[in-house]
Amino acid sequence: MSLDSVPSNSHGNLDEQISQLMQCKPLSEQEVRVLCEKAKEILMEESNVQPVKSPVTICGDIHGQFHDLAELFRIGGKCPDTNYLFMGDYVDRGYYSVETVTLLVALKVRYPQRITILRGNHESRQITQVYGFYDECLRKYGNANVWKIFTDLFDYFPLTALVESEIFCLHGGLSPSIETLDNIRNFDRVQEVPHEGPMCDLLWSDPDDRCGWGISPRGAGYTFGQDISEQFNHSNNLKLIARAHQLVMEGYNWSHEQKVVTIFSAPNYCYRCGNMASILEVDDCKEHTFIQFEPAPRRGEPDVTRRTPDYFL
Amino acid sequence: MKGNKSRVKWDEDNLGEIEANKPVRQKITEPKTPYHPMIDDDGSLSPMRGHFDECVDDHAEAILTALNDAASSSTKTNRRSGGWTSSEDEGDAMEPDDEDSEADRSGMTFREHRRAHYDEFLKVRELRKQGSFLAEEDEDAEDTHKFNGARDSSSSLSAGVKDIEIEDGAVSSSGPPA
Repeated sequence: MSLDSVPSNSHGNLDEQISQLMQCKPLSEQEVRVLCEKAKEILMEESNVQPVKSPVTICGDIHGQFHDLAELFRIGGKCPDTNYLFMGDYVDRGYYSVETVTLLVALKVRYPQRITILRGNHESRQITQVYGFYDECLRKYGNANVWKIFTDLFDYFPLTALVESEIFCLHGGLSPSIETLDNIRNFDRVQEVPHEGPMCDLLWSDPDDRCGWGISPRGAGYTFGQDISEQFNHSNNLKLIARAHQLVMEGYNWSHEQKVVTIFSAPNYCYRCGNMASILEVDDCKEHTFIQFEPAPRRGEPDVTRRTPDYFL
Repeated sequence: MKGNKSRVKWDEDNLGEIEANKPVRQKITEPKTPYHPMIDDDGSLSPMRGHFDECVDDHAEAILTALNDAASSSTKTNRRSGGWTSSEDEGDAMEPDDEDSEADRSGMTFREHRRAHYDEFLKVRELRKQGSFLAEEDEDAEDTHKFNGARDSSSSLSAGVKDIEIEDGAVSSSGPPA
């Protein structure tokens, strides 16, 4: 039994829920409602640039691939034995968005100091109506209440995190409207992800080989060049920008001469891309180690064409 | 069903005629089914006994090899579409910097595929124009949520644009169309 100040019986229930979720069994609507109420209390206290201490393991997109999240915990260590920082995109595209996001939120409520969950561009009302989470909630609960509860909670997720004052972590990338971390600290994040502006950019931008700012082919956010990353890291005394948001075949990909790294944690993305996943361990001495992993073998999911590159839908 | 009163009799003439008029057959070039005879210690062939488990690995390896051959002979354009590389060859096939260097059969590079895939915002913007969402988020999300929990719209990616209900003027107060 832990020595937390909260009475252990209040954790008892939560611990049971976590072990149920670990078996990929969703909670009831009422349980989700209570859980998200507690999560909201915790998340609303967090900063737009949430400070995080090392050691910590930084993870990228999960996209409802629950069994791969379970594999991630097997490989990276269980929470709370390992501290985690997830950089968004828990839902959509995979078949287990409900179980995935519920588990991560439950872990956040149970071990608030041990896990940080940032917001990704898919943690949004409109995107989830098109890319699967909404439909999955309807299918699994018979109504959209759980979708409503979660998408309301997403508004409270912090946008960025800062590991030991030197690794800046976020889902997408930089914004031409943001020069310093204080700029980010100052805006009101509790809202649906806007269609433009700095908050949108943080969740939608991508690094690019071309210098300067570019128009993003995604239609939201910007592309930013190495000069932008260098300037940003220099002005904010950062060593590295860690971000997710893009499929990379090896699970991680350095860019901008190691000023930026992309981390992607959904192996065989969309059950067909044949990519590796990875997580980044930052140890007490702030040393970096990437751990790559492949999908865990399992039943009940399509395993269409692993290692075949007719990627995408 | 009357026992073996009379044995099967072949229509030899007809068979002969079919044989004579047989069209030219195409040679099938697919790889042979990998088959490993079960060899006993004494060198004689034997039916499977306790050997199955030991053979499974060899078997898998043989299938892999055969598929590999088939893949590499049919797709010469792209190493990666050969797909079934062993873990040793993988490293060089997937150098991050190589990710854009090879086009696949459709002539698209990895990055082009990825760019095409990440069209989420564009799709959502299109749907927003059509007023297909449960609520317009533009001004204040909370109050405009005329939320109908049981609304049965299918808006999954697979369903695509065409399946989403199109209403003029966002969520109408008259409720979803029939």
